[in-house]
Amino acid sequence: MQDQEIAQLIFPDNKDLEPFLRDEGSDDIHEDLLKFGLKTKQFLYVDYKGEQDQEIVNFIMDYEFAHHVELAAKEDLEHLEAYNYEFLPDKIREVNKILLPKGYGLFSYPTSGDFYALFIAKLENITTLLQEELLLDERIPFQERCIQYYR
Amino acid sequence: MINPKKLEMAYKRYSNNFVDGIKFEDVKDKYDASKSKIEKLVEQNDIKKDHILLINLNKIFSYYLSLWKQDVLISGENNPEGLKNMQKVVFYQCMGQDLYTIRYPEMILGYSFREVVITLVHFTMYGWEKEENILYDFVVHHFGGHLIYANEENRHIWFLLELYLQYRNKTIMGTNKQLHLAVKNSFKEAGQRCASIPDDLDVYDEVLERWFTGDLQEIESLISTMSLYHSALASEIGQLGEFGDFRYGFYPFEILFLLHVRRKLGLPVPTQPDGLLMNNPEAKMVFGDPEPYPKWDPVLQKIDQFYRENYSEYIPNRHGELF
Repeated sequence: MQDQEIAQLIFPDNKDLEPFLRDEGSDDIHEDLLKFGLKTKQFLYVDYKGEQDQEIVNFIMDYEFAHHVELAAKEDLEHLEAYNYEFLPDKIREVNKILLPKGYGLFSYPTSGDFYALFIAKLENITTLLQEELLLDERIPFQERCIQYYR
Repeated sequence: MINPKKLEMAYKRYSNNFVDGIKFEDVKDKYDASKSKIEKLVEQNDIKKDHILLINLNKIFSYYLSLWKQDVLISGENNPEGLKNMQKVVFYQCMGQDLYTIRYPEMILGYSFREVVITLVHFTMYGWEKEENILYDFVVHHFGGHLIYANEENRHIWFLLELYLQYRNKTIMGTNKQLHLAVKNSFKEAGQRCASIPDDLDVYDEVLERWFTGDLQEIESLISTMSLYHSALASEIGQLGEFGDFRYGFYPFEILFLLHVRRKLGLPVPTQPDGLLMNNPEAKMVFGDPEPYPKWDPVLQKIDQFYRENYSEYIPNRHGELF
């Protein structure tokens, strides 16, 4: 698959992506997309130790507002706020349970650093999203070189 | 544009912080522990250790913060007693700190510049002119020094101070226009820290240009811009930005002060500014003109009396009875 296609799936309606890749892009698509996602706040940066405050809940609400959709009821968000977890993927699983009926998911973009880069996308593209090896680093297990969906 | 869902969720978090997070009973326990410590020190008249009195004022502050939140934010009563006492404590923190400038010149302050400015404008709103002037003199006298560390990043604080100066026809460093820039430049020249002072005041620049307008529609629009600015930042509560704190996150004191000043000058004010920010119980507190002094906290009173008796240079000694 072309790099462009995966970029379109992660950032489907972003007009700035193409000029960004043209002007600031390197030959490392993984790095470029990470940089773009963090810069435009379409990726949520979460420390590997977990959230500080309510980062995931706020991220979901920002997404809803920007895309004019409702992904979770207030009660669901309150449940997420109060949700206790030891490892972040446990919380992401909980988020995905809530977003599933709406056809959305919280995905994790591969990183080589000690943080998570999370993004929200429609589940209809899940097969394509998960199969692409983006991070080309042999020392990292194969699965972690791809986008992940915790279910 | 405000994300209403995010704002409501943040407001709920802000309120719940004083139900599930900081519990009034726990704060009261700490207050009681401080109380006995202070009583002992005062009894022994222990001058060498009396800075502990000053340090413990923080516990009194926290106690009244919790009381204010419980009365107004949680119970929705129109009762600013806790808020008034919090600010009275800030006043005495300043007065007490002044006594230790020689003994402990680098002593950590129990208050911030932000807290002092908030107190100053509230004294103005309460109509406590005597205490307002003493606090203002303190600010001016120590401005930029250790006791009033003015490397302040919050834009609303520069706005409030400048509006206060213009309203009272006073100046700091010779000016009451674009104060933050004057202060920044002056600090820079003196080699003092000033990097946190903003270069612009965002929405407040426009408000300071036009706060005295006689046009009701214009002031309505300015207030709505301020409210939007505050609400957007309060939506990010917990992130520690401007208005991101649980103490004053949803309390729009900067707008309330503007309304107060305009009312005093006989300028038109909107009857009911809309939105969640302007219609929460903290925003809707009504202050009397003048607002009665709060009941003396017995511990605070003991400390004040102790300082009055032991230190002739203690500022309140020059002014007779206060509060």
